[in-house]
Amino acid sequence: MRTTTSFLLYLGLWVLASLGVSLPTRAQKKDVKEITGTVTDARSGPLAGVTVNLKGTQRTTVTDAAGQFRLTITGHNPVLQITSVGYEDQEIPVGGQSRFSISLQPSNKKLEEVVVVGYGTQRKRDLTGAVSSVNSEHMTLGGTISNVGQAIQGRAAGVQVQQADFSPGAGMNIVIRGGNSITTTNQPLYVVDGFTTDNGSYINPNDIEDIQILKDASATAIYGARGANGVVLITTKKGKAGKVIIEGDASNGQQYLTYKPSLINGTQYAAIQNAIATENNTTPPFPASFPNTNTDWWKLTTQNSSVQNRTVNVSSNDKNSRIYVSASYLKQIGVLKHTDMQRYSGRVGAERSLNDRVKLGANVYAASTTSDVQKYSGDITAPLYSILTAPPNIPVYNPDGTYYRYLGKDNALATLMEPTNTSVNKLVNGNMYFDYELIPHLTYHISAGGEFSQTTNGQYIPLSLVAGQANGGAATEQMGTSERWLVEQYLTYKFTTGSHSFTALFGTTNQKDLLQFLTAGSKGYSTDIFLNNNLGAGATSYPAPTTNKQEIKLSSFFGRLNYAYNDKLLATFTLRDDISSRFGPNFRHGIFPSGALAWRMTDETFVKSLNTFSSLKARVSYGVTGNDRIGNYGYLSTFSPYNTVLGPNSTLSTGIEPASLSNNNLKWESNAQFDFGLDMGFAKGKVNATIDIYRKKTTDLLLAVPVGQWWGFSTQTANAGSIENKGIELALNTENIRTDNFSWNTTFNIAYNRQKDLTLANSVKVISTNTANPSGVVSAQEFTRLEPGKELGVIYGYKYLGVIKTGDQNTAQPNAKPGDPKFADLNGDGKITPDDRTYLGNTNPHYIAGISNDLHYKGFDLNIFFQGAFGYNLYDMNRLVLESTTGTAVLDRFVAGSHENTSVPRNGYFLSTYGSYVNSRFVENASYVRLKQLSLSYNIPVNLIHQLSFIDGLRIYASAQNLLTFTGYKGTDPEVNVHAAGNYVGANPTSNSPTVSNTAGGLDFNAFPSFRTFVVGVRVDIH
Amino acid sequence: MKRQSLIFLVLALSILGACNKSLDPQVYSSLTNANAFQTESDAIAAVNAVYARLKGPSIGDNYVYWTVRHFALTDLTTDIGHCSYGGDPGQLSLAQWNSANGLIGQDWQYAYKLVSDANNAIYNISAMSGITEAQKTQFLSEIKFCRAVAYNDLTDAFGPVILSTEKDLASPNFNSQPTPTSVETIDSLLIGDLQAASAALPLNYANNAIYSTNDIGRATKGAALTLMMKIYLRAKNWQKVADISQQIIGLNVYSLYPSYLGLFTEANKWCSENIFSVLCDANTNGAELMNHFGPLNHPVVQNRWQYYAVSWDFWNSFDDQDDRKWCFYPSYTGVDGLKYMQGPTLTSVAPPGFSYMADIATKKYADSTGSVLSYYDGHSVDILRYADVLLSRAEALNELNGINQESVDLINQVKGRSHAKQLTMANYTQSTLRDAILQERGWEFFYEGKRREDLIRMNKYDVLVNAYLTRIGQPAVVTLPKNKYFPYPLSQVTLNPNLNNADRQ
Repeated sequence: MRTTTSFLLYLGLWVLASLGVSLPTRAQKKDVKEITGTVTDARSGPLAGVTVNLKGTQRTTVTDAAGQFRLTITGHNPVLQITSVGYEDQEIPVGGQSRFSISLQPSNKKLEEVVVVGYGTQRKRDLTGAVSSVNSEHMTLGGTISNVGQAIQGRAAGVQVQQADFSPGAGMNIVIRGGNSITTTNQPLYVVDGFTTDNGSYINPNDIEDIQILKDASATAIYGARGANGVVLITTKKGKAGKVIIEGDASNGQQYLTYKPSLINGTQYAAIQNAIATENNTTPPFPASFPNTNTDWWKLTTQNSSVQNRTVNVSSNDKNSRIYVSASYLKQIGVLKHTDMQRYSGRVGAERSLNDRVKLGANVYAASTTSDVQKYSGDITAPLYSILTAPPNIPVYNPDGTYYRYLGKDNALATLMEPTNTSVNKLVNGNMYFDYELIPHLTYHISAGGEFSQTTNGQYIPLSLVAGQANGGAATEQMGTSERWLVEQYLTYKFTTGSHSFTALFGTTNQKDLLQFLTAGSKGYSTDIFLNNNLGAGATSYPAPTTNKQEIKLSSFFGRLNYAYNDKLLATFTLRDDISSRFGPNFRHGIFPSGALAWRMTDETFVKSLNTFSSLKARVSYGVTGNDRIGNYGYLSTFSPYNTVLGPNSTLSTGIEPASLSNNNLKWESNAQFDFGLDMGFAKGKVNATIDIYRKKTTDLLLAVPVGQWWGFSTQTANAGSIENKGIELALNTENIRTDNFSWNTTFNIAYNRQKDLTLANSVKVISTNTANPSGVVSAQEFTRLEPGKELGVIYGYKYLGVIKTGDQNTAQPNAKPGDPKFADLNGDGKITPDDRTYLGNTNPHYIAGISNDLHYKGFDLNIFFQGAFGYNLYDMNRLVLESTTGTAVLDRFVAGSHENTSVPRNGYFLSTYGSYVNSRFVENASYVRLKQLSLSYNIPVNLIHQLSFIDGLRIYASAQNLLTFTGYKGTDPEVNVHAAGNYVGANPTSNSPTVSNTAGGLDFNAFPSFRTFVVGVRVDIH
Repeated sequence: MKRQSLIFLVLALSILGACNKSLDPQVYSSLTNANAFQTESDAIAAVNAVYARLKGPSIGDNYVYWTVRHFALTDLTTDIGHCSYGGDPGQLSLAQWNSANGLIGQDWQYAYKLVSDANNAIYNISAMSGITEAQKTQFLSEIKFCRAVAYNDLTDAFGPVILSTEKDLASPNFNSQPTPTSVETIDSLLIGDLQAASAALPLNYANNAIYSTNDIGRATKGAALTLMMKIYLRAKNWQKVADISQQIIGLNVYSLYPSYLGLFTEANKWCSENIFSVLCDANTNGAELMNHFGPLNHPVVQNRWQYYAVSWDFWNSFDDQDDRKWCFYPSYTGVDGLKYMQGPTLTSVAPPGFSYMADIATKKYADSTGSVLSYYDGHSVDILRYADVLLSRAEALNELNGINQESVDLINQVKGRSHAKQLTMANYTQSTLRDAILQERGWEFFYEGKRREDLIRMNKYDVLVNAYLTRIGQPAVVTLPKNKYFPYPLSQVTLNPNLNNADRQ
């Protein structure tokens, strides 16, 4: 099926392509002449890759490595247009000349850049929407950077990137201009080279040429239903102009842990546990004969470890074609043992103009990523939990070399090291496109592509573990695959009459996704040797195999009209109609319009007379975008199996029960956004600033509305409630110093976002989320609360007042023992009840900022990049757990009569009837500033050595990532959040409602420890 | 030339509109209400899922409701159960719970999950035309029996609760905030359902017209009668208890299993004493009973947690001659070579070579002949068994008639099976026999989900639990009526303010 479809797509493209090729050329005998020329820069060096266009036609060529071009021209009074990024455009009348020598002047390139927008490109100066651009020079690359989020963190105003999880290869949490949605994902849409993908953030960042982040409705509305969270347009490299270049880059790095918990030793632990037992009138757990050991579990399970990057790419560019081929290898050894990750990836990008009117291109990306995965969720089954709370008085091994077990459970090292848990992701993405100029100015574009992603998790629990021993070894294999087929077509028509110019776009897309999931397992092995690679060798099939298959279809129509008057007034209107199979037949269509106006005021006399601005543009936009990212089939009542044993033998009797509370009225979530922005240039373009203010209101939220559990479920997905985000963003680029030998540039961005929930569902006053279980015997408790007027993820709990001292009269907490935590009776009713809880602090940063300084002196380049987030809190649940188990804080615990002057209560928060472990004591301000990257590179002047003239550049570099962090936060890291929503990777095939908890921010519990990385590398360019 | 381009344009536009004509997604792996309730086997599947909700899922995390965690509410909170792990079970064990206690929340959640599955199955099966009336009656009777089990558990734990039935599904209002329904009203619904079920259900499923195998896990006439008897017992409608218990005895299908310890072995999935049980198989839908109940560091039943244990105080109350005293692991040499046993006092420090245990593990769901080597085990959990019928009848007759020989004989019948010391009627009054029945029920039914309801019915919850807490050096915090019912789970109170915890702990 898959191969048939792709074959048909290929065939279709071939037919289209050959049609284009076979068309006779339109050149007429009359007025035809061939011209040649050379293009040079101001210093007379040849310029390659310069576009030479016959004005008013599509007749175009590109200069070669020597800066030379050749073009056939026709028509009366022909004029050449010479354009190149970074240089002023020139127009040269051909006249009688046939040989040209053209010198280009450097320009203020920021305004002349052509940027990718949805379904097309635009000159940056013509943009009417709010778009942040990050090009490859301004990305954080190398070292442990493995995804797009890491590469752009802190680099774009209003784009909040949070490394919620530091494990090798972990995804990033990216939210643009505050979260719109309460229950569905707030991650943006990714479009890579025109292909809409859920895996966009995982492509190799070194292959990226530039990234455009579409933020306001004018820019995103062309993506309609999926534009509400912003759109990240990624353009991959297509090769540098002019010649064949081979680039090789190799770097090695070392990672050093920056987090180290403060833990007690075995002797201290045994003494304290015995003392606690005696205080609680129960039996001391560690009698004298207990074999006391001092085991440092942290040291045993963590390490300073290496990271390696190897990349080779070859690019070539001539006047008709561009090609880029790259291969890359990344291997990161985890600072937590047994968490290694390696990735091989390759990319081919090619484009060729078949003739003046036909262009064909294709991109293929393939990657294979293998990781030793552990659980990093805030969960007591995460290895970090067993490491942090491992009794330090128990030994690692028995005398016979087997792992020591305590209370019938495996020890922390065994749990980390022994199970096989390998995740392999294979991702292939290919798309091709074809542009054909049907009649002058009318271009037809078709692109078709497919993406195939397969993640296989193989697990084997060996005989050395309790569960492995009980099962005789247990292996499972889980395979999830997702396929996407996407065909997009559009027509673009450009025309100009007098001072009015128009670009009209109309198109359609059809997309189909298939998700499949397969699990199988067996147990009862005679040997550990097979791991998960021979399920047939197990005696019993267990668990029973499962399969699941789901389908999603999306069809859309879209149109856009760009209008410019005198290059001064700009207007953009878009409209998109999306039809999604996720909604019932009555609510399938979503119509998403937007409009924007911009006024380039640079040349207005009142602006000129100010003598302040070298450029000035004001933009205003309004539009509606949507969100359909909920589980599949939500509008249908579906039933799923739930089996049990009822008969005399052990066979399962098949049962079926409702799979969810269906809702056949589900419809689109819609997001209306207003944006006003100013693009300003000062000091002859040396200082550029962009300010945007915006207000977004999301209504008909696709909300998991809490329902009473008597309905059989805790939530039902419905369209209910609304939320507002308001904010302001500033991006600043300055060229501070520029001399022949020295230059200093600064880019700075800061954004403020204020979020407010406006309404929830009828009769639903609050929506809560829970913590993780702090131990095997303590349940998760309500931890954040959302109600109208509040933002997402505000911690809700008791106010901690300290410890109840011996003799304290505390009538609000009757029967409390000395040493119990004391809480504030906020409602003053004389007793502590759940009504005494209050809001304890927001967990989403209100301010995010980044500042990058690039200094260049002769062959040296220095980049200093700081990034930070401010005005938020984290809930430090590690501290909560450690202070009643293995942390040094336990030494400071309350002991009646002997140690009462302390804030650490007796034996945790779990014994008392009153209050809860969710209280103000563990809420900490997490604002931070981080020296995210410090890098220094030196270009060795090899061109001085004649024998090495084939080397274009030889650069050695050293960099440090996460070198310094300035924060008052005492937990694992101010960025962690084990409840983070994570990137949306299609609906989880196993679940009808993907769990996304935007309401549960800021939980620091069992997170992968943070680290800093030092990298040295060498990069060589050969032609 | 232009014409060619225009042809191309038309061609292109025709492609534009051509794809994805139908956006109805193909549903591959789920049933929908269009195809889920067609045939007899569809109906049976809906019935089966309701039974399945008495326990956790067939794979993983199989510790909910009647396979383990329900006992946290029914036994840990009494003078019998003990958990030395602190946390939620620790709170319950010391009567220090609050409305955020996760175990209280889970019991509510999973009992209602069963209720909801039952309501859905009743609603959908009632509307089916592809099955016979006899089949429909059979299916609805089974489902309503299971629903009555859940409502009985809910009303034991929480008293008045939200009454949700199949009638709410015709036009559901998921955002409604219903007021709890009184226990009496719920009881009368359950009695009606169980009366109908007891008339419709067979004595057993041997050679059944509908089910091809002898499904011992399904509800029977005896099960419906026994549950009805239990509901009357709670309401102290002694005459009904006496009548129905006589009816059950008269069915002549139940008898005490000869050995108390044998009754609870994993191998004994079903026997003449079982009236209604949750069945598990270690390999297909195993429970984590043995993990939670099994002893610490035991050489045979290895790697267990002794999580739901029994207080030494309770264990010491058994006579040595009572077989039931040996349904425990009082002392053994552990895998670490230490001698595990009871210390002279609760806080005694063990000398070298010994380890004093804070509490004692029971063999009831962790016998050493069971699946000691596998993580999951296949112990049945008996929700209703014949000994309960006998002791309930003894109690009812004592209440109706005062001290009487039949009550004493019934108690002695239960004692006799375990070789426990027999009672002599002359030594008892109505009141002391009442106490003896309560104690007998403790010895007989520990960790069978009965202790708390018994203490509350006999109005001894505060007296006996406080006395026990005092004996183990803990604050005596139980007061009635405050502790008669658990607080409604906090998350549900937040959603529905009509669930009011003002007079609860």
